[in-house]
Amino acid sequence: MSGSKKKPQLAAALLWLSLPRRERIIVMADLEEEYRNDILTTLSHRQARVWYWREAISLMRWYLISRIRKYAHHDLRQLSPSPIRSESGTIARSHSFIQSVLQDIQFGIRSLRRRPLFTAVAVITLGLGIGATTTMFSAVDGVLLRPLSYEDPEKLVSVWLTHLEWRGHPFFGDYWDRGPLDFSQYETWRDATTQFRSVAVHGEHTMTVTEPGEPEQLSVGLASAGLFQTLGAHPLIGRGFLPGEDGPTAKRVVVLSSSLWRTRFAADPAVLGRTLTLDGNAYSVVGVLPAGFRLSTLVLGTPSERGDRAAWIPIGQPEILGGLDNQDMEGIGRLAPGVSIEQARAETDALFAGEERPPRMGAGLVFRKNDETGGYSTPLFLLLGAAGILLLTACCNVAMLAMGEATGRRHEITIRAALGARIPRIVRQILTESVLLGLLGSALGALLAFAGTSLLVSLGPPIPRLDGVHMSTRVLLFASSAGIATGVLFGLAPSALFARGSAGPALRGAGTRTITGGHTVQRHVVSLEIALTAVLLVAGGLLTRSLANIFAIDPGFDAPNVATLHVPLPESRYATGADVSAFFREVQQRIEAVPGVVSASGTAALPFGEAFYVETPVFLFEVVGRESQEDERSPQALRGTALPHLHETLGVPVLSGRGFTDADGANASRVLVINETMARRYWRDESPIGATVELGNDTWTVVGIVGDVRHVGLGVDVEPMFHLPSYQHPTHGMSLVARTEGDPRRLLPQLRKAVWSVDANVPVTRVNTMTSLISESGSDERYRTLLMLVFSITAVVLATTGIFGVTAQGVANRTREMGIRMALGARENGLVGMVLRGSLFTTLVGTAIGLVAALWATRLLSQFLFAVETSDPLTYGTVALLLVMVCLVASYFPARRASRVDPVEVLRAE
Amino acid sequence: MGGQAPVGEFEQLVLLAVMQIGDGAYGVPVRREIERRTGRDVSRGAVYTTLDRLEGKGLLGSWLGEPTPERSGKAKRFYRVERAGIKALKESRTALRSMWTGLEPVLGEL
Repeated sequence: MSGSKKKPQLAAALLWLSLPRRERIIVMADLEEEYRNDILTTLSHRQARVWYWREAISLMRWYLISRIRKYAHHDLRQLSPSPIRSESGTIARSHSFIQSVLQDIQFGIRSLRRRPLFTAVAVITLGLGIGATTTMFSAVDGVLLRPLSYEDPEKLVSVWLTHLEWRGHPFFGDYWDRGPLDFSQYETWRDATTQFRSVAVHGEHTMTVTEPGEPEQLSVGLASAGLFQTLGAHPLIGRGFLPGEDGPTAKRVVVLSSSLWRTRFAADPAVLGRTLTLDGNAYSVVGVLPAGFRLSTLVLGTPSERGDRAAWIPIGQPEILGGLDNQDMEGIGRLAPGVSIEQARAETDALFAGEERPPRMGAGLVFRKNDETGGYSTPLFLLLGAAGILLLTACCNVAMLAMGEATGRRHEITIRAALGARIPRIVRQILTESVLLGLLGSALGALLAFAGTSLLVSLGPPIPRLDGVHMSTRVLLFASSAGIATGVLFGLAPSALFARGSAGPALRGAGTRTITGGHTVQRHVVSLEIALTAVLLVAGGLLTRSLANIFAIDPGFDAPNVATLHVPLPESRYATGADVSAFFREVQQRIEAVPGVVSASGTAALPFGEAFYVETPVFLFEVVGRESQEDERSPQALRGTALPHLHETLGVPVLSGRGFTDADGANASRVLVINETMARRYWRDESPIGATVELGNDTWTVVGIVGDVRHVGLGVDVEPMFHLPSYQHPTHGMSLVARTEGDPRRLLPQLRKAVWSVDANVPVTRVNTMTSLISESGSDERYRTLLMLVFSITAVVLATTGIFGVTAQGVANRTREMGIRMALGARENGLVGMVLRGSLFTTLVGTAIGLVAALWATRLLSQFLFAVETSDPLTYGTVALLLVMVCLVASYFPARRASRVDPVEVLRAE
Repeated sequence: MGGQAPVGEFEQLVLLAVMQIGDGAYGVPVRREIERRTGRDVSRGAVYTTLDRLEGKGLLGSWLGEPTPERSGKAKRFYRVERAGIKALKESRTALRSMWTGLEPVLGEL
């Protein structure tokens, strides 16, 4: 019998626990025998497991019920004044507490089953609140609160190079603040630091592995000697890199990831000394990392990178980006004991500033954890807050239901008390019921949170570390307790109050069923619930408006019907600029020859491309012949490169002058094309056409002005940008674009083939369409908005049931009054109006409070809103209108019932 | 009545099933026998509780059999009807028969 044919272990364990000891072994063995002999042989394994579960549950139910019956039977005998008591009295007494609890549970279950509507509403309400809160907290917990999986993560600090001149600039500040280190800076830092216990740099490079196994592109980490030691990661086998193995004389040694070790070396324990061929060079294996080791690069533009590396090699391999000079490295350090981040910053600042006075460069130090979660903490905490509001709404609903029930049951309680039931016992009975309800709600909440958490992860918004999110049991417990406590508090309070007084007035009152007090509190709770709902609705509405505004923005080019693919040419085989230009010239022609392609071009700075910031550097330039002001910052702009006809292919309007043509070759005069923003910012009213610009050591002439194109997001401002002709400034990584007739997706395979027809060994990545790139750029906003809308709609549903419940209750309690009013000549419409007015008042009070609260609370949202004020009157008006409509719909049906009261019946009952 | 509490309908079914099976009557075949002959769905729990109760009343006797691999090495509990069980069955039949007598025109032969 194979291991996979085993019975479901969980079901078996549960069954084992619930069977009486005497019958346990026999019953389970019988079941197993049937399962193996008859079920597994006729049904599929899956069906067989279902069968086992069903049988186990049926057995558990049977024994649970029979046990309860048995105890209840004992208990009755104990209560009855017959001689039976003396026979079994001692045994019965020792069990009496458990028995009475079991009896309470049994009674509670029966009582809840008798009121299916109440039970269902309470359970669903609690479940929704608990589910939403737990899901959101799980995300917050997993992404923000759980420590990084490194040793002592609180001491890890990211170290960046900062250009002091640009610190704090809204757009370029971020760019210049998070500059990568070069090797000499790292060496200076490493040799001089006293505030760090150990320091390291790391980077990432895509390489092709050929041996052992099939050729494949892999993400390979570049590490300085101290990296693993700094992170506190201990290799599973072998060692990390030794001092002297990195840097200019980097050795060809490699540390494997656990997964590469398993897939390509079959988890060979004697792997040390074997070789891995990367980009044609043999690297000798010196170590294997433990599973789960990750380190993401955090340079701008790659926030969703998970940090999985197939292998690690020492930095300084000459083949990679031409060796050390060109390497972009991220610094990471472990603070020495007792050193604060400020002390470390002061030291590193001074080190990076060097001899220059005033200094131009400094250090940016950020705790690694904050750096990894970056800008995600505020939106996540906001959503958690929204989920919390939803939980509060749910608690309001439960409180209201419980209060309504408690008031309604005064009569029952009074009678039971009058018949001699002890008050603590009655209270315990009600308590048991509330707890049962709470447990059912929590169970549903747990299910929803479980589904919600997996949904959250599978939707895959670009949030780092989201894949490590699991349902948080702590929060589930917290939220469940909150739900149960609310139920108990509000369910018990009226009965406890009543229990203290004497039964007389209530008994007398019970006949006429005049209920006061409770209903007023209920109305207050409904108002509160509506207020909370209004806050959520406003937040959801504002985000939706903002999202709509973002997607209404023109990206600046004609996005539909454009396909794009990225080709990172290997520098090892395309060494010179002429090689690169020749390759892309050929590729452009081959792509244009593909049937269905209207025109083709390429750029190193693809708008909405996933690595826009990485591939589009910011350049400082001087306009030749213009006096530069002393205190003025030197002009700067983003620099892209373009193949001929880029702007025409993308549909970017050429506003003045011309775009690039085939004539802008390597030997032609140096030209550049600037965007509208650059023209306006740096030339104001003059015409830039014909102006000469100094970039580095060369001078370039402006030949054209093109329209602004959004760079990374529709809602992100356009910055000054210029393009150089690719032939005059060749770059190895180019994104090719092709305008097609009809759906560009259909042509993607042919486009890839066209590239490979020039060179079958170049990688082709990021194959996509411009439309979906633009759509992905808004996924953060969309995700936030979606969640907020889900929360607010859920709150509306809860509020609706709340209004319905309280109105129905009010009407039921006022049956007598209605009857008398009708007997006195009140019209049906008048009665309906009276009820509607009552609940409308409650709703308006709640809405007013909610809108004022929203005005204050949504200030927290302002940083996520695009072209919408937090006090947007349209949103507030819509929310108010929606809530009034919800109120009218929810209270109309109970009001109708009020008007159908038969006055004769009511008066007869008097 | 012979001082013995009368057996219920389901108890009768279980006793009869044990007798019908003869050698090798334990939980699984007992349930199957009742389901096969009566066409009813029988709850597993009910069979075990009833077997246990009948044994407690002294109507059934039981012993443990050899462990087998398909039961993960656990033994079976085999049952046989004791003399008291047969007596109880006979009494039930007598009671039923006398109650039926005279109603044959309406209900048909027993």
